[in-house]
Amino acid sequence: MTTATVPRARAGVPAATVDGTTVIHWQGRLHTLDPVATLVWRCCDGEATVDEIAADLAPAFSVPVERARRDVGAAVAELSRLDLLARPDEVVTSGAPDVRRLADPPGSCASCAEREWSSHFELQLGRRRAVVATDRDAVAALICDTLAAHVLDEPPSPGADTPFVGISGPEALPDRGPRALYLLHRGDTVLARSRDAAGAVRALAAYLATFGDLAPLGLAPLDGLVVVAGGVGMIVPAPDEPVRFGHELADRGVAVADLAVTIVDAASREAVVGAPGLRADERALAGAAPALGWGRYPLAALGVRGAPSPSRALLTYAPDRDDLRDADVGLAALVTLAESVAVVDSPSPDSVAAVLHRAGRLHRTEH
Amino acid sequence: MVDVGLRVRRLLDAYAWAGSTARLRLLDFDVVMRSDDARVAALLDELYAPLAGAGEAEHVLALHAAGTSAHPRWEVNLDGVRLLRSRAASIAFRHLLWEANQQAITRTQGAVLIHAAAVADGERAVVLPGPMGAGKSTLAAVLVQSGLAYLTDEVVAIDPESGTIRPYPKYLSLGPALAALAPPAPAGLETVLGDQHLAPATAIRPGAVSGPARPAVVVLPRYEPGADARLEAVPAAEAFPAVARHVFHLDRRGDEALATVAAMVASCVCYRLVSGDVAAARDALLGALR
Repeated sequence: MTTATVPRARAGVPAATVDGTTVIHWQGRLHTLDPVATLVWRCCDGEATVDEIAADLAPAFSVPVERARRDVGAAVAELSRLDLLARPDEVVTSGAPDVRRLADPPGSCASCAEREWSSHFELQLGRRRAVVATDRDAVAALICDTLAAHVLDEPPSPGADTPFVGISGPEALPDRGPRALYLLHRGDTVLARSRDAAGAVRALAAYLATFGDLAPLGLAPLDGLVVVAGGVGMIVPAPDEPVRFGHELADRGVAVADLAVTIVDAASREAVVGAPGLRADERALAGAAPALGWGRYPLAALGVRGAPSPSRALLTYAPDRDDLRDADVGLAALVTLAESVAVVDSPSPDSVAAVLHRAGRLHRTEH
Repeated sequence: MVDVGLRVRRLLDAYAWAGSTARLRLLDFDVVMRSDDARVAALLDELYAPLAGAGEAEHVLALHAAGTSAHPRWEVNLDGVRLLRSRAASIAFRHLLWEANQQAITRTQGAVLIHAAAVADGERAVVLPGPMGAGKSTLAAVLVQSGLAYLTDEVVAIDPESGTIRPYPKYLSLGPALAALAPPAPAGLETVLGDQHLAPATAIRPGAVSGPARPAVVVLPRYEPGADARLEAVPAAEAFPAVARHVFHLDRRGDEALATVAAMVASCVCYRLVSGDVAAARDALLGALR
């Protein structure tokens, strides 16, 4: 800046003055201008130079022009530093894509952020991006193969290396005995468990799909576990002991989805198991342990604990405001389902199986 | 196609709530609070009694039990969207109160909102802006106890047209020093209230709630442990930025908010109050007011 600079105060900056002191709110910050700075700011009209402003103000403050020039120069430099002056080359940009990175999961913990991950990927999911990490090379290869269409070429930017979701795997597979589990987790919450890498990646794809642009597809995410028997599905609340619950349902001929978050098509009353909205290549997952296959399942019921009613279903499956998903979309779908699907008391695997087998018989009779 | 909001409302109306408050007007947040514990609803009714009105509210804020008998949980929902799930009833209850206040701040469009307490001496309001811990609620409580009328302990809502304060006489949240002013926790709700000491203004002094009042005095309080009470006049030009720091919604309506606060400060007598003793602070303030 020189004394020939022609400063211009930004237009449309919220400001008010009391007894010469001005308070300005700009870009989320408050600035206070003392009476001298207030006068200088008002003189920054985009026509007068710093020299001319100093010459105008010197008599008002009874100081020599040289002193006024120094003070005005300092005030203009400070106003410029605070971004309260329009820049000559300023170009207003708009219409930048509204892409948000999914981050800060509820329940995230410091130990997850500090964990050593061998691979990081950044994935584009419609309007959102998510960093996914794993500590197993086999999982990394499967992510690349299955979700290639979504993996961005460039690695996650610095500071974005805390994963939104991660898959951790066992150090080594034991020769005998039960195999250790691959875990899909977000923060300190385990979302899915699998005995093989492909199962974990299948759960990852399904989970990420719930953060995609589902509304244009007429779909909505819902917290709840899809269980299926005889081609008919039901949503039940996430069980407290998912592994045991899954085994007990399997013993009763009921298949269980990989994770307790599902996607629903409320208009057709179907649960959509899989990764709708994502271009996931399932071929790489062919080796996954048997599980509920990807597809659409007509919903026979919403399970609740306690006296069943649509209002109970609403409160049981209420979407979370802080879950980074579109809560309004989930709420609209939930209300439609609560009004159009049977709500049943399903406290145990026995009651779930009974509801599904009865609905399955009915379904087969009708078709 | 019926609006989703109406359908949600219908479903929530059909739920077997054990208790429900009256319709409450928390500034522009028009709400009914419900719980499946009737005692919780009764407590909320008492805490928000001055804000009660007739008719059907626009929103439903609910505190209800969830989970299983082995893993009990408490949830707070607003219009069918879950805001919080907690193992502790006290955390859920505290969040419900916080959320109600946040919604009042977020949804009130027609007023300029300042994070401040306020009491009234007739039609003259005393505005006490300050951050959490400055002693706003404590001062408001002792001033109400001394005979001044209660406007709010949290959000001063100024009508930009008339310059008057809209009362927001929610319960006062008191520190341990004034815990005795709060009614004892209703039987069985000790764990729900936790360590909070909440008092409706009428429990501190019957008939204490003020009508609309015009700001006449601005006091910038600061709590300093062990400090003697010092009340000193400050020029409006110095008080203005100090008050502006506590204005909500500057991002949304900065021009109107700053102009309203400037007009308020310019028309008020302004003080800075530093104290470590609430009784001395009260006496200093009452002395200045009279």
